[in-house]
Amino acid sequence: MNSKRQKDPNPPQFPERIIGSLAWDEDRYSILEDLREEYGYIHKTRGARRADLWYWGHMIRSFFPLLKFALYWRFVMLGNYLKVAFRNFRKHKSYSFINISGLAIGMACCMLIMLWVQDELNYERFNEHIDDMFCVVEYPPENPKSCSASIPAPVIPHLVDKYADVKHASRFMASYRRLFSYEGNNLFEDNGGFADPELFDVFSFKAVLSDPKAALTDPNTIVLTKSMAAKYFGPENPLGKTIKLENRYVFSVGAVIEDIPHNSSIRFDYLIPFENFGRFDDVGLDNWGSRWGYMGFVILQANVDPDVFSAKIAEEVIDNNPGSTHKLKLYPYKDLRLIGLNNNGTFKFILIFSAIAILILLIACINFVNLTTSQSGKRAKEIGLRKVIGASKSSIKRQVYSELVAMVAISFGLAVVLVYFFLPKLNALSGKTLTLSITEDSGLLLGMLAIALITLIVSGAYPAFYLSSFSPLKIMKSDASIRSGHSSLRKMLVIGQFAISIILIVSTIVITRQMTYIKNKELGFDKDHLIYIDLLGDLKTKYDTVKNELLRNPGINAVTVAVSLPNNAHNNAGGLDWEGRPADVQGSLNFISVDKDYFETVGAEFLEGETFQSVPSNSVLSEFVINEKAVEAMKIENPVGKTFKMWDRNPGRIIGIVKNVHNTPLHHEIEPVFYVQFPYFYNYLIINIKNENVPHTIGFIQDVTRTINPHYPFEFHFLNEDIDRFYQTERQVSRLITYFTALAIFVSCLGLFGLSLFTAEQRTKEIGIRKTLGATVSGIVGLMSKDFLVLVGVANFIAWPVSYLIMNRWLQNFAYRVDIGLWIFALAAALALVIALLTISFQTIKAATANPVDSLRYE
Amino acid sequence: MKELSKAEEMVLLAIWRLENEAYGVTIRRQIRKDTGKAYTYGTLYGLLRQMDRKGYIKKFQTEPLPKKGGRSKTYFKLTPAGIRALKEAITIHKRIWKDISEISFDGS
Repeated sequence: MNSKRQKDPNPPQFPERIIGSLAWDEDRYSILEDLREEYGYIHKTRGARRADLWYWGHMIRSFFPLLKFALYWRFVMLGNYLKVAFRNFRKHKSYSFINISGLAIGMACCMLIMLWVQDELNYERFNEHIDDMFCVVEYPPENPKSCSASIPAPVIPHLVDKYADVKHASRFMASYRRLFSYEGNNLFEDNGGFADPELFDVFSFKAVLSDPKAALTDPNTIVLTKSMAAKYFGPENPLGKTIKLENRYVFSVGAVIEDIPHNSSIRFDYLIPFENFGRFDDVGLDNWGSRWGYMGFVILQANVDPDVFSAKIAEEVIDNNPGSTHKLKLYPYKDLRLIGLNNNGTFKFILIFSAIAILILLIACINFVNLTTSQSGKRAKEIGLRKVIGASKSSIKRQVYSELVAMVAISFGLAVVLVYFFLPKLNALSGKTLTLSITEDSGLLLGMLAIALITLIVSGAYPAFYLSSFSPLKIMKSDASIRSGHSSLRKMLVIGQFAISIILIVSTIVITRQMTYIKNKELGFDKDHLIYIDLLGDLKTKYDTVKNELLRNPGINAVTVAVSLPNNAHNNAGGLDWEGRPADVQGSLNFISVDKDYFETVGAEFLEGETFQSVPSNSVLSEFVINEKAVEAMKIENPVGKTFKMWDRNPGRIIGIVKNVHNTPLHHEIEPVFYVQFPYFYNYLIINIKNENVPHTIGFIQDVTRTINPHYPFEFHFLNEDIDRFYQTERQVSRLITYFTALAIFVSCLGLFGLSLFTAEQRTKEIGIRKTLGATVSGIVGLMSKDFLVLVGVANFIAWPVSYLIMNRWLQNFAYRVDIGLWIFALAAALALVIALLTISFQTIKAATANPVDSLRYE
Repeated sequence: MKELSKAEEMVLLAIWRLENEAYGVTIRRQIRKDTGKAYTYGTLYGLLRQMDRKGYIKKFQTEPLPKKGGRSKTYFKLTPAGIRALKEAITIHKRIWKDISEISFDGS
């Protein structure tokens, strides 16, 4: 019979494998053998086909009985595993504490970042047509990556008229601060916009009262958000009520919409029909050459390929404005925030933070692996005994996993508590309003559980494999190699942990230095003494009176008016010409219209020439001042005295050159600009004040402006606060990274602490003997620290090049940046070593000072 | 002692009948012969394991098979407790079927 068995046909593989994987260890072999025998019998008597069929049928019918029993017995064993697990937790309190707190911190970081990422990814998603929404953007042909969403105002109506491909299109222009009055209440409103009716076809803003799209077709109508309507009209029905803007223009409320969702980039509290924009600022509604921040959004017809359409419209601005070189294209709206027009989107922050959170969790998992394998000597006997009485590899794995499940479950609970407490802090840092609403958002719960599951798999796989592979024979003989565990792997993991920490330390130092640099950088103007006021109402018409009044106060150094603030040069003027302009240089520069006191007030120094002498006029532009960058950009020698022509006005002369001031954020090179007296464009009253008695000075300014402008509330701004606010994102990022770095180091140290605890225990006898033979305390501390410090040292060598590459890349975002000095690496290395040394010193000193009599009696 | 279920009873009886030849295949065949029920191996081994835990049956291994990597085959036999449980089952059967013969059901 046995010789016949050899020739037995093999059953079909797939069902055999299914049954094999379902069956419990103890009887798996018997079941498969029995099936094989039966199969062979049927094969012999009734043929291969019938036998195969029978086997398949048997598998299907056995599926549930097998599954039921398998689960049942696993569940019974689980009770035992958990009992042993909790005994172990209690027995090794410090190890359990290290593991649980590390995992909890790691998971909490991941959860917090997940909430943040989820919020970022949800941006704009409330729009039903998000995948079909495009932004019309302009780009210089020589640099297609440098796009601008600010396009000439006629572009959108022109595209709608000319191309049937456009289904919906709307312009949008964010309005700056406007004065609103209703029944004697005067309030400034910062967030508003001008838009075409089809804005409501493109975006999915929800109507509350009436039809906002229809409302925008009437030029004298305004659309309010719910909270804005409530602010002015309280519980009354706002429809048809009239509201006055800038004390001049009367609008009636035509519709009310829900407040703009928090995850929309386009934000406003009120909307005014775009065609009305000209009543507020008569600037270039029909002008193909000026860009004042008009944005254009389109949705194409269903069958139109956006790339093809982009190619069609590319030349539109050039065709309609011969001086221009900028091309048009479509940009997917959904990428606007995430990727950003010039790669300045939030996506890179998502990547950075996700990476950091995952690294922290990884460090915690490494702790678990290290401590579990190093503890394996203690567990070896238990596992050996389990194996002797019949436990298989897979059941040992299950035991290790169920212990880990218990540990991860405790950590998970702790992590949720941590998230709950630190979410407000994260919100404060990031300016978001994230909430932990598991009940409302089932995806969130799933995500959190996924984090726990990944933790489980990552940290459990190796220990489970390692512990289950013990040979009971060796364990029972108490083989020394098992007691020490896999020390080479452990060393590598410690190196990995510290490399991550050191990379984060270097990053933190570099980022902090860059942020300090930005804060303290001399911008070329007197940013700390400047305050500004919007030039509204009669302040503009009675400017001379205002100026004379203000200068009477000894706290005020100088007063000026300008189109934009010194930190901002965004008004581009095309159609320029100057004496000696090479043919290949575009007649296009940024311009800043200012009055003659501007340079003195903001503190810009002249290199050559001096400020304007002539009387300001809108029609005659006779004097121009340029900055150093402009001299380079214009490619002329000795510019002072040369003629300069703006648009179709009479030519004037260049009368001076000022030193460069940082008129753009430090991410970018200083822009070439020219200054001209063009009163039409004045927007701001800029005042240079003395540092003493500031509240008094501001009170004085308020009195002066109130007398001139009784209907306007008084609002002023410190320029340096504005500039600081601009770097808010970077500052938030740098702060978050600092916190995360601290956490990463803390978790790494937890692990190191655990390992040093283990080493100290393991070497108790050795230390006792050394001491009886005359070793000193410091000698022993040194001996024990040496091993760890070597690891941290090696970690440094891995971390330095990596962190250099990462930080060098980050710094490329800034045109003006600090360099990465060698000392930073030295500092990071020193920090890591000191921290590591301190961490292990708890154990080493304790072990070294212990009485050798006790240590020799140990065990 | 808890009463045996019908299925347990069948398995125990099959093992008893097979004496020293009781392993998976033969037990399954015996049950089919006695009752016409074709158990799957999943169900069968579930029952066997359950009764092993209860102490009614005992596993024993044969000599390893002489083929390459051959392992021993698992046979089952009744323990004294198993025999006792069977006896008890018979007693209960007799008691509840007392005074009832096959003829009694005719005509109903």
